[in-house]
Amino acid sequence: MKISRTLTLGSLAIAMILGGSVAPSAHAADALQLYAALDYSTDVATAFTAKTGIPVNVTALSTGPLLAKITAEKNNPQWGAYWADGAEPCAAFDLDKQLLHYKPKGAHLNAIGQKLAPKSGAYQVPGFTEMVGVVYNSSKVRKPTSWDDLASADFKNQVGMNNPSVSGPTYPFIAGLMEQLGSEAAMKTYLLKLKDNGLRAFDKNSKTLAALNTGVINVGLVQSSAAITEVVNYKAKPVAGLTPAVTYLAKTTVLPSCLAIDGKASAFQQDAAKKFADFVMTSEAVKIMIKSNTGDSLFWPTLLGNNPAAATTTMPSFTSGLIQVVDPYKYAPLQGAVQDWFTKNIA
Amino acid sequence: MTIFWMVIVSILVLPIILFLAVAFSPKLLDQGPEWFTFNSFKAAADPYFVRSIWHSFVMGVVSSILATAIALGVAWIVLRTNSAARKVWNLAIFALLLAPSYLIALGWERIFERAGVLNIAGIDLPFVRDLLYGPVGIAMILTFKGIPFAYLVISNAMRGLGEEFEQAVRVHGGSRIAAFKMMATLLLPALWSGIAIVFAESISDFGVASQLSSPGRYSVATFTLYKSVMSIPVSFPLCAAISIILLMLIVVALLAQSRALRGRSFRVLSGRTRPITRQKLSPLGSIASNVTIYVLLILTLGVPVFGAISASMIQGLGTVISNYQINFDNYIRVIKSPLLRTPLLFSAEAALMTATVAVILAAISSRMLVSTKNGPGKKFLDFFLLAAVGLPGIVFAIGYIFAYNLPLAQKYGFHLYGTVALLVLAYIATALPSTTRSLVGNMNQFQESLSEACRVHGSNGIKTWLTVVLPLISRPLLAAWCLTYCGTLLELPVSQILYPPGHAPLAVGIDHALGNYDFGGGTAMEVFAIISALIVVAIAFGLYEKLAPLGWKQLGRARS
Repeated sequence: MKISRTLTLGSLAIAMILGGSVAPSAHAADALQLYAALDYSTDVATAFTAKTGIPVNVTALSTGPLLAKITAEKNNPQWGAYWADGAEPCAAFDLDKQLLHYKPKGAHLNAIGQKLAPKSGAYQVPGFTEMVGVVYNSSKVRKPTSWDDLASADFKNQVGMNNPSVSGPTYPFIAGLMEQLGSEAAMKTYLLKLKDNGLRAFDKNSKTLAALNTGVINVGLVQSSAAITEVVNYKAKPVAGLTPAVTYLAKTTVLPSCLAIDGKASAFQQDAAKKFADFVMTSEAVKIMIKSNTGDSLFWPTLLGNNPAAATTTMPSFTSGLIQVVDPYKYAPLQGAVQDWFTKNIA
Repeated sequence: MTIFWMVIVSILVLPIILFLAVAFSPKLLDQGPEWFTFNSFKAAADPYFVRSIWHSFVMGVVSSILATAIALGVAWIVLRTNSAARKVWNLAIFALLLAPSYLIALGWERIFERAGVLNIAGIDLPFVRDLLYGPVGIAMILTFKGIPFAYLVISNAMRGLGEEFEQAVRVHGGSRIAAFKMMATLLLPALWSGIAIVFAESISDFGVASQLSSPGRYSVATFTLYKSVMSIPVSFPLCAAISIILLMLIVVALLAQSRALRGRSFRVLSGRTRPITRQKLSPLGSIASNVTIYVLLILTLGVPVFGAISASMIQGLGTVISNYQINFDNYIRVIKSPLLRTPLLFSAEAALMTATVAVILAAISSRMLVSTKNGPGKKFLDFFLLAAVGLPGIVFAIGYIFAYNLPLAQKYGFHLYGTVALLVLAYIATALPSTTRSLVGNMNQFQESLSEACRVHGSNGIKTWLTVVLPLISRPLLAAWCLTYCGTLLELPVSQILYPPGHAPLAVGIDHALGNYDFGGGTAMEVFAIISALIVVAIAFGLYEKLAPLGWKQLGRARS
């Protein structure tokens, strides 16, 4: 038994010493803990640190794992700020009284920005993308013209979409369907019709686009930024037989990117998060966000006087009459049940 | 021993118990309003979840039995015959272990999917495609994924067996089949270990489930569980209830194992175990064995390699009738990028620590599991070791947050959550069960009288271990180390939830690349990671061959 003790102690010592040697503890109390699901969040955080001297620890994951982490930490939250696409999770946090309400200093919003930002200041909306961009392989299928058209014989076994249980941005699309079709039941009937027509459900944008690239489907219902990226990529490196194009069907739902502050965080975290929110809602930060001109950078800013990245202009504007805004506080409470239904009946 | 138990409780038992407790008491960790309830079990009794759990059980049973049977046959060909293909298999085994299950599934999809390779070639097999996206496809790929696990366990035990038992059967007039049966009987502990590992790995596998389960509407428990964890809003009480039901399946596997081995002794490993003589196969036997090994390698390794190549080197495969391009652009881009280098080095370091510590703890655990004392501690350890394999990694990671983010612990300055140390401890805990199982077969063969004789002659415990036990189990320990290293390098669920900010492990980097529509770059990173792991394995075995004393390498050696 002495051997077991020696070996156990030895192995633990190895683990702790080596574990510590790889990196110092990242949980410094003097750094803002930012949980983010957007590509540009690290660049924005770096610029924020350079400007304010406040260090930021960015935990960069997709929305699902981030929300799982936040929920698991609920009895002792470790995040200071959360930043991802989709207002419903933030509305749900707010209804659960988890958020600190704050209005950034000096942020002048455009018309849609004012419509998307909650009056309470529960979260900030620096920009928005749209759900869904209908990306289709124009070498194989014609351009879809309406939601009903997607359920027609021309698109039999051709359409794929993300699973809202996994893909953060997809529930707002479902909420948008409920809004324009008039009820939850009508949305379900429509999706079942698509299912009967061969609709395939994939985990998230990347998986749906992978299916489009390999010809498993020829029409993908994905986030506008993902759809535009797909088109831009294949324009840059053309492949015979695969010519992605994007279209938007009436109505397309606005998908705000939301920055929220933890209401239970320490005073330091909350103070740093407020300063970070102030920075995010500036033109300086928007310029960093749109810089890469691909992926998440393809959004419309909500700050007055700021234009989107060049490729984003193919997306319908607020004034086009093609897009709609849904109330996240109305649809957030339905999210669990609707997603459960989707997984059991569509996915 | 107290320290060993403290370690096991801290890294294994506490996270599992706290996660499962949420099923009964959501309020305990602020996951709901009730202090005690069975509501989550009512939700888990939904026919959809019940069907998923049943599917998982069936897949686990089928794949574990098939994988173990195939591994036994392969081990016999490789270790006991002069088949020329045996050398190729020995090289391929770690590549097989490294191939992520989703890549195996992807390779098969690329061949049979609509607009896939066969379709492009003018062959449309909708019937086969339907089979692939359903129980047959899932069971087949889980079997392929399970073969290397079962093979490592069985081959290590077969090496320790010598051939005197088979010779005894033959001398007494028994046929070759009778001799094979005798060998299989003596290998029962290893076979059951193999079945237990493959069963637990299969029911907790997410890669195959994510690739084939959803499109085929044949839902399995891990897919359901993962979807529940990633759902918005998350319901951890429901996930915990499903996990408890999954664990009950594992208890069934454990009971079967214990019933099969009860009251029998398999202690054949001694200092007198003689080198075996390889059977010279007839020309027909030689052809048959070579064909078997090569076909198996094409199915298990060739298809995922094709999956990787098609994803990282061929642009437009699947949509293009002609004119597709094969190039190394993605590899060149990735090799220059810090997005590969830094995470690869970080994960390699973490895998190195994990493998080293896990092998030491696994040696102690496996020795305890095969101990003749059948106390509650042994059963307790057995259950939690298998439970940790059976629970999907994502669940395990959430359990770590519950355990190490407790306000009480942090109040007393215990800040482990969000550190590299906690990530490594979680890796160790995740690796420990399969590493332990891979050693159980060998430990079961070890004759205690050897150590006892050494102690009687005045040697202390440590010297006895180093001079008697270690030489006999050195090769299995090395194999277990390599197994753990390879498994940790590309581990995703625990890495995703527990990585400290600024230190993204490789799997998180790959997932990020794939999530940003860089399919080619992500897969190229994966291929580099696999190549790097194969180099580490080659170095480890090379050093063993060069530095280990001759006596250590004698066990399991064969005469041609």
